[in-house]
Amino acid sequence: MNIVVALLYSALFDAFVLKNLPLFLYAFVLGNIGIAIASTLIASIIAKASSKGTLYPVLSFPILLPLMLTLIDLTKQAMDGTTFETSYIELAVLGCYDVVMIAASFLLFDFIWKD
Amino acid sequence: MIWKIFLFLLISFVSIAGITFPIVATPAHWYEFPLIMGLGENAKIIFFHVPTAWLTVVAFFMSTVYSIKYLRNKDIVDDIKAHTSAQLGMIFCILATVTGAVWAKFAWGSYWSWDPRQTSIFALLLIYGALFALRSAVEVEEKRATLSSVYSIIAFVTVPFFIFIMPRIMRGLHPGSADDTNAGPVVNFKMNGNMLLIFFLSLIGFTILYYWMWYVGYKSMLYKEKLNKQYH
Repeated sequence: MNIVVALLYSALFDAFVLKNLPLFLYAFVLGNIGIAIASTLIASIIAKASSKGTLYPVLSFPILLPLMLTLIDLTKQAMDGTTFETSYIELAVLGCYDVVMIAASFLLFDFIWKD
Repeated sequence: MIWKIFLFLLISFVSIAGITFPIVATPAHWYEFPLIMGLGENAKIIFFHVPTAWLTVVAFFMSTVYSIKYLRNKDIVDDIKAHTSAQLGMIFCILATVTGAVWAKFAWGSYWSWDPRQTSIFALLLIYGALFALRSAVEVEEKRATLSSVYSIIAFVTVPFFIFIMPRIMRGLHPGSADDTNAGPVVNFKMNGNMLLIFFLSLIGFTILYYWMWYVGYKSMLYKEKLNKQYH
Protein backbone atom coordinates (compact mmCIF):
# COMPACT_ATOMS: atom_id res chain seq x y z
CA MET A 1 0.00 0.00 0.00
CA ASN A 2 2.88 2.27 0.72
CA ILE A 3 4.16 1.66 -2.82
CA VAL A 4 0.79 2.73 -4.19
CA VAL A 5 0.87 5.92 -2.14
CA ALA A 6 4.42 6.73 -3.25
CA LEU A 7 3.56 6.18 -6.91
CA LEU A 8 0.39 8.28 -6.62
CA TYR A 9 2.35 11.10 -5.02
CA SER A 10 4.92 11.13 -7.78
CA ALA A 11 2.21 11.11 -10.40
CA LEU A 12 -0.01 13.82 -8.97
CA PHE A 13 2.39 16.35 -7.49
CA ASP A 14 4.62 18.15 -9.92
CA ALA A 15 7.11 19.28 -7.32
CA PHE A 16 7.64 15.75 -6.02
CA VAL A 17 10.88 15.10 -7.81
CA LEU A 18 13.30 12.76 -6.12
CA LYS A 19 16.76 13.95 -6.83
CA ASN A 20 18.41 11.14 -4.92
CA LEU A 21 16.33 8.06 -5.65
CA PRO A 22 18.51 5.40 -3.92
CA LEU A 23 18.31 7.36 -0.66
CA PHE A 24 14.54 7.42 -0.90
CA LEU A 25 14.42 3.69 -1.61
CA TYR A 26 16.65 2.88 1.38
CA ALA A 27 14.48 5.04 3.63
CA PHE A 28 11.34 3.47 2.11
CA VAL A 29 12.38 -0.13 2.79
CA LEU A 30 13.90 0.44 6.22
CA GLY A 31 11.01 2.66 7.25
CA ASN A 32 8.43 0.10 6.22
CA ILE A 33 10.23 -2.59 8.18
CA GLY A 34 10.33 -0.30 11.22
CA ILE A 35 6.64 0.55 11.06
CA ALA A 36 5.73 -3.12 10.62
CA ILE A 37 7.78 -4.23 13.61
CA ALA A 38 6.61 -1.54 16.01
CA SER A 39 2.96 -1.80 14.97
CA THR A 40 2.91 -5.58 15.30
CA LEU A 41 4.43 -5.44 18.75
CA ILE A 42 1.96 -2.85 20.00
CA ALA A 43 -0.93 -4.68 18.35
CA SER A 44 -0.03 -7.86 20.20
CA ILE A 45 -0.02 -5.97 23.50
CA ILE A 46 -3.43 -4.50 22.72
CA ALA A 47 -4.83 -7.84 21.61
CA LYS A 48 -3.98 -9.29 24.98
CA ALA A 49 -5.04 -6.24 26.93
CA SER A 50 -8.56 -5.49 25.85
CA SER A 51 -11.23 -6.43 23.39
CA LYS A 52 -11.47 -2.87 22.09
CA GLY A 53 -8.98 -1.69 19.58
CA THR A 54 -9.31 1.97 20.45
CA LEU A 55 -6.22 1.85 22.62
CA TYR A 56 -4.04 0.95 19.64
CA PRO A 57 -3.45 4.45 18.21
CA VAL A 58 -2.84 5.80 21.71
CA LEU A 59 -0.01 3.33 22.24
CA SER A 60 1.46 3.15 18.77
CA PHE A 61 1.64 6.85 17.85
CA PRO A 62 4.33 7.83 20.38
CA ILE A 63 6.35 4.68 19.72
CA LEU A 64 6.35 5.40 15.99
CA LEU A 65 7.25 9.08 16.45
CA PRO A 66 11.06 8.86 16.26
CA LEU A 67 10.66 6.71 13.18
CA MET A 68 8.25 9.15 11.54
CA LEU A 69 10.36 12.21 12.25
CA THR A 70 13.49 10.55 10.87
CA LEU A 71 11.67 9.30 7.78
CA ILE A 72 10.19 12.72 7.06
CA ASP A 73 13.65 14.23 7.35
CA LEU A 74 15.09 11.60 5.00
CA THR A 75 12.34 12.06 2.40
CA LYS A 76 12.96 15.76 2.43
CA GLN A 77 16.65 15.15 1.98
CA ALA A 78 15.95 12.75 -0.88
CA MET A 79 13.90 15.43 -2.59
CA ASP A 80 16.63 18.00 -2.04
CA GLY A 81 19.24 15.71 -3.45
CA THR A 82 21.64 15.48 -0.51
CA THR A 83 24.42 12.96 -0.82
CA PHE A 84 24.68 9.76 1.17
CA GLU A 85 27.52 11.16 3.26
CA THR A 86 25.45 14.07 4.53
CA SER A 87 22.37 12.04 5.39
CA TYR A 88 24.37 9.18 6.87
CA ILE A 89 23.32 10.06 10.42
CA GLU A 90 19.61 9.80 9.73
CA LEU A 91 20.06 6.49 7.94
CA ALA A 92 22.05 5.27 10.94
CA VAL A 93 19.23 6.31 13.29
CA LEU A 94 16.73 4.46 11.09
CA GLY A 95 18.87 1.33 11.09
CA CYS A 96 19.32 1.55 14.86
CA TYR A 97 15.59 1.89 15.42
CA ASP A 98 14.92 -1.19 13.29
CA VAL A 99 17.56 -3.31 15.00
CA VAL A 100 16.47 -2.23 18.47
CA MET A 101 12.82 -2.88 17.77
CA ILE A 102 13.54 -6.31 16.27
CA ALA A 103 15.60 -7.23 19.34
CA ALA A 104 12.91 -6.00 21.72
CA SER A 105 10.23 -7.93 19.82
CA PHE A 106 12.20 -11.16 19.87
CA LEU A 107 12.81 -10.89 23.60
CA LEU A 108 9.41 -9.68 24.71
CA PHE A 109 6.92 -11.44 22.50
CA ASP A 110 6.89 -14.63 24.57
CA PHE A 111 5.97 -12.67 27.67
CA ILE A 112 3.11 -10.97 25.89
CA TRP A 113 1.59 -13.93 24.16
CA LYS A 114 1.93 -16.79 26.61
CA ASP A 115 -0.26 -16.67 29.67
CA MET B 1 17.02 10.42 59.48
CA ILE B 2 20.37 12.13 59.22
CA TRP B 3 20.40 11.89 55.46
CA LYS B 4 16.97 13.48 55.27
CA ILE B 5 18.22 16.50 57.18
CA PHE B 6 21.30 16.56 54.99
CA LEU B 7 19.11 16.40 51.90
CA PHE B 8 16.95 19.27 53.16
CA LEU B 9 20.02 21.42 53.76
CA LEU B 10 21.48 20.53 50.40
CA ILE B 11 18.35 21.34 48.43
CA SER B 12 17.78 24.59 50.33
CA PHE B 13 21.33 25.67 49.64
CA VAL B 14 21.02 24.80 45.99
CA SER B 15 17.69 26.59 45.63
CA ILE B 16 18.89 29.72 47.39
CA ALA B 17 22.22 29.69 45.59
CA GLY B 18 20.60 29.07 42.26
CA ILE B 19 18.18 31.92 42.60
CA THR B 20 20.04 34.61 44.46
CA PHE B 21 23.66 34.42 43.37
CA PRO B 22 24.11 37.27 40.91
CA ILE B 23 25.43 36.90 37.39
CA VAL B 24 27.96 39.61 36.65
CA ALA B 25 30.33 40.17 33.82
CA THR B 26 33.48 39.84 35.87
CA PRO B 27 32.99 37.69 38.95
CA ALA B 28 34.93 39.03 41.90
CA HIS B 29 33.61 36.95 44.81
CA TRP B 30 33.04 33.21 45.16
CA TYR B 31 29.32 33.66 44.99
CA GLU B 32 29.10 35.39 41.66
CA PHE B 33 28.62 33.66 38.33
CA PRO B 34 29.94 34.89 35.01
CA LEU B 35 27.81 35.55 31.98
CA ILE B 36 27.24 32.72 29.54
CA MET B 37 27.14 33.82 25.94
CA GLY B 38 23.66 34.43 24.73
CA LEU B 39 21.87 33.54 27.97
CA GLY B 40 22.49 36.28 30.49
CA GLU B 41 20.51 36.50 33.67
CA ASN B 42 18.02 33.74 32.85
CA ALA B 43 20.75 31.07 32.85
CA LYS B 44 20.08 30.33 36.51
CA ILE B 45 17.16 28.09 35.66
CA ILE B 46 19.73 25.61 34.41
CA PHE B 47 20.13 24.45 38.02
CA PHE B 48 16.51 23.26 38.03
CA HIS B 49 15.71 22.45 34.43
CA VAL B 50 18.56 20.03 33.67
CA PRO B 51 18.21 18.05 36.94
CA THR B 52 14.49 17.50 36.33
CA ALA B 53 15.24 16.26 32.82
CA TRP B 54 18.02 14.04 34.16
CA LEU B 55 15.69 12.69 36.82
CA THR B 56 13.12 11.83 34.16
CA VAL B 57 15.67 9.57 32.48
CA VAL B 58 16.75 8.04 35.80
CA ALA B 59 13.15 7.38 36.87
CA PHE B 60 12.22 5.77 33.56
CA PHE B 61 15.39 3.71 33.66
CA MET B 62 14.59 2.43 37.16
CA SER B 63 11.05 1.67 35.98
CA THR B 64 12.51 -0.49 33.21
CA VAL B 65 14.90 -2.23 35.60
CA TYR B 66 12.03 -3.20 37.89
CA SER B 67 9.91 -4.23 34.89
CA ILE B 68 12.65 -6.61 33.79
CA LYS B 69 12.84 -7.92 37.36
CA TYR B 70 9.10 -8.46 37.38
CA LEU B 71 9.17 -10.41 34.12
CA ARG B 72 11.79 -12.71 35.62
CA ASN B 73 10.37 -13.23 39.11
CA LYS B 74 6.66 -12.53 38.74
CA ASP B 75 6.80 -10.80 42.11
CA ILE B 76 4.09 -8.15 42.31
CA VAL B 77 6.22 -5.91 44.51
CA ASP B 78 8.53 -5.33 41.56
CA ASP B 79 5.58 -4.18 39.49
CA ILE B 80 4.59 -1.75 42.22
CA LYS B 81 8.12 -0.39 42.33
CA ALA B 82 8.14 0.01 38.55
CA HIS B 83 4.76 1.76 38.59
CA THR B 84 5.87 4.21 41.30
CA SER B 85 9.01 4.98 39.35
CA ALA B 86 7.01 5.56 36.17
CA GLN B 87 4.69 7.93 38.02
CA LEU B 88 7.63 9.91 39.35
CA GLY B 89 9.19 9.94 35.91
CA MET B 90 5.97 11.40 34.52
CA ILE B 91 5.91 14.13 37.17
CA PHE B 92 9.52 15.09 36.47
CA CYS B 93 8.90 14.97 32.73
CA ILE B 94 6.06 17.48 33.13
CA LEU B 95 8.30 19.63 35.33
CA ALA B 96 11.11 19.51 32.78
CA THR B 97 8.70 20.52 30.00
CA VAL B 98 7.29 23.39 32.05
CA THR B 99 10.66 24.74 33.18
CA GLY B 100 11.89 24.39 29.62
CA ALA B 101 8.89 26.31 28.31
CA VAL B 102 9.41 29.08 30.87
CA TRP B 103 13.07 29.34 29.91
CA ALA B 104 12.09 29.32 26.25
CA LYS B 105 9.85 32.33 26.79
CA PHE B 106 12.80 34.34 28.09
CA ALA B 107 15.45 33.01 25.76
CA TRP B 108 13.63 32.43 22.46
CA GLY B 109 10.54 34.59 22.76
CA SER B 110 7.74 32.04 22.94
CA TYR B 111 6.73 29.25 25.26
CA TRP B 112 6.55 26.54 22.62
CA SER B 113 8.33 26.61 19.30
CA TRP B 114 8.33 22.91 18.29
CA ASP B 115 12.09 22.80 18.67
CA PRO B 116 13.22 19.14 18.26
CA ARG B 117 14.02 18.79 21.95
CA GLN B 118 10.66 20.26 22.93
CA THR B 119 8.90 17.96 20.47
CA SER B 120 10.76 14.93 21.76
CA ILE B 121 10.03 15.64 25.43
CA PHE B 122 6.37 16.03 24.43
CA ALA B 123 6.53 12.66 22.66
CA LEU B 124 8.02 11.19 25.84
CA LEU B 125 5.05 12.54 27.78
CA LEU B 126 2.74 10.82 25.31
CA ILE B 127 4.57 7.50 25.53
CA TYR B 128 4.40 7.30 29.29
CA GLY B 129 0.87 8.67 29.31
CA ALA B 130 0.00 5.72 27.10
CA LEU B 131 1.58 3.46 29.72
CA PHE B 132 -0.91 4.71 32.30
CA ALA B 133 -3.75 4.34 29.80
CA LEU B 134 -2.70 0.73 29.23
CA ARG B 135 -2.59 0.07 32.96
CA SER B 136 -6.11 1.35 33.44
CA ALA B 137 -7.45 -0.77 30.59
CA VAL B 138 -6.56 -4.11 32.13
CA GLU B 139 -8.32 -5.31 35.26
CA VAL B 140 -6.57 -8.58 36.08
CA GLU B 141 -3.58 -7.74 38.26
CA GLU B 142 -1.09 -10.22 36.88
CA LYS B 143 -1.86 -9.53 33.25
CA ARG B 144 -1.77 -5.80 33.89
CA ALA B 145 1.65 -6.13 35.48
CA THR B 146 2.99 -8.26 32.63
CA LEU B 147 1.70 -6.04 29.85
CA SER B 148 2.77 -2.81 31.47
CA SER B 149 6.23 -4.26 32.14
CA VAL B 150 6.57 -5.18 28.47
CA TYR B 151 5.37 -1.76 27.35
CA SER B 152 7.69 -0.05 29.82
CA ILE B 153 10.66 -1.89 28.33
CA ILE B 154 9.61 -0.94 24.78
CA ALA B 155 9.06 2.65 25.88
CA PHE B 156 12.48 2.87 27.48
CA VAL B 157 14.06 1.60 24.30
CA THR B 158 12.85 4.74 22.54
CA VAL B 159 14.00 7.09 25.33
CA PRO B 160 17.66 7.22 24.18
CA PHE B 161 16.41 8.20 20.74
CA PHE B 162 14.34 11.02 22.11
CA ILE B 163 16.60 12.40 24.79
CA PHE B 164 20.10 11.85 23.48
CA ILE B 165 20.09 11.28 19.74
CA MET B 166 17.39 13.21 17.95
CA PRO B 167 17.81 16.63 19.51
CA ARG B 168 21.51 16.52 18.75
CA ILE B 169 21.20 15.67 15.07
CA MET B 170 18.30 17.90 14.13
CA ARG B 171 18.52 21.63 13.70
CA GLY B 172 16.88 23.66 16.41
CA LEU B 173 17.15 26.32 19.08
CA HIS B 174 18.00 24.29 22.14
CA PRO B 175 21.70 24.26 23.11
CA GLY B 176 23.40 21.21 21.70
CA SER B 177 21.34 20.89 18.52
CA ALA B 178 22.92 20.59 15.11
CA ASP B 179 22.88 24.37 14.76
CA ASP B 180 25.07 24.90 17.80
CA THR B 181 28.82 25.01 17.35
CA ASN B 182 29.47 23.25 20.64
CA ALA B 183 27.56 20.59 22.50
CA GLY B 184 26.15 23.05 24.99
CA PRO B 185 27.47 24.29 28.32
CA VAL B 186 26.70 21.10 30.19
CA VAL B 187 28.28 18.41 28.03
CA ASN B 188 31.44 20.36 27.35
CA PHE B 189 32.00 21.34 31.00
CA LYS B 190 32.60 24.89 29.92
CA MET B 191 30.72 26.31 32.85
CA ASN B 192 32.59 28.31 35.42
CA GLY B 193 33.82 26.44 38.52
CA ASN B 194 31.24 27.95 40.87
CA MET B 195 28.36 27.26 38.54
CA LEU B 196 29.60 23.73 37.99
CA LEU B 197 29.69 23.11 41.73
CA ILE B 198 26.15 24.35 42.31
CA PHE B 199 24.98 22.46 39.26
CA PHE B 200 26.39 19.13 40.40
CA LEU B 201 25.15 19.68 43.95
CA SER B 202 21.71 20.28 42.47
CA LEU B 203 21.95 17.10 40.42
CA ILE B 204 22.98 15.04 43.46
CA GLY B 205 20.30 16.62 45.65
CA PHE B 206 17.56 15.95 43.13
CA THR B 207 18.69 12.34 42.69
CA ILE B 208 18.54 11.68 46.44
CA LEU B 209 15.15 13.39 46.48
CA TYR B 210 13.94 11.05 43.73
CA TYR B 211 15.12 8.03 45.69
CA TRP B 212 13.27 9.23 48.78
CA MET B 213 10.06 9.98 46.88
CA TRP B 214 10.23 6.60 45.16
CA TYR B 215 10.76 4.77 48.43
CA VAL B 216 7.83 6.48 50.16
CA GLY B 217 5.68 6.05 47.06
CA TYR B 218 6.17 2.36 46.59
CA LYS B 219 5.79 1.56 50.28
CA SER B 220 2.50 3.44 50.44
CA MET B 221 1.22 1.75 47.28
CA LEU B 222 2.22 -1.63 48.68
CA TYR B 223 0.31 -1.03 51.90
CA LYS B 224 -2.69 0.25 50.00
CA GLU B 225 -2.75 -2.95 47.92
CA LYS B 226 -2.48 -5.08 51.03
CA LEU B 227 -5.30 -3.23 52.74
CA ASN B 228 -7.48 -3.53 49.65
CA LYS B 229 -6.92 -7.25 49.52
CA GLN B 230 -7.71 -7.61 53.20
CA TYR B 231 -11.08 -5.98 53.01
CA HIS B 232 -12.32 -7.36 49.68
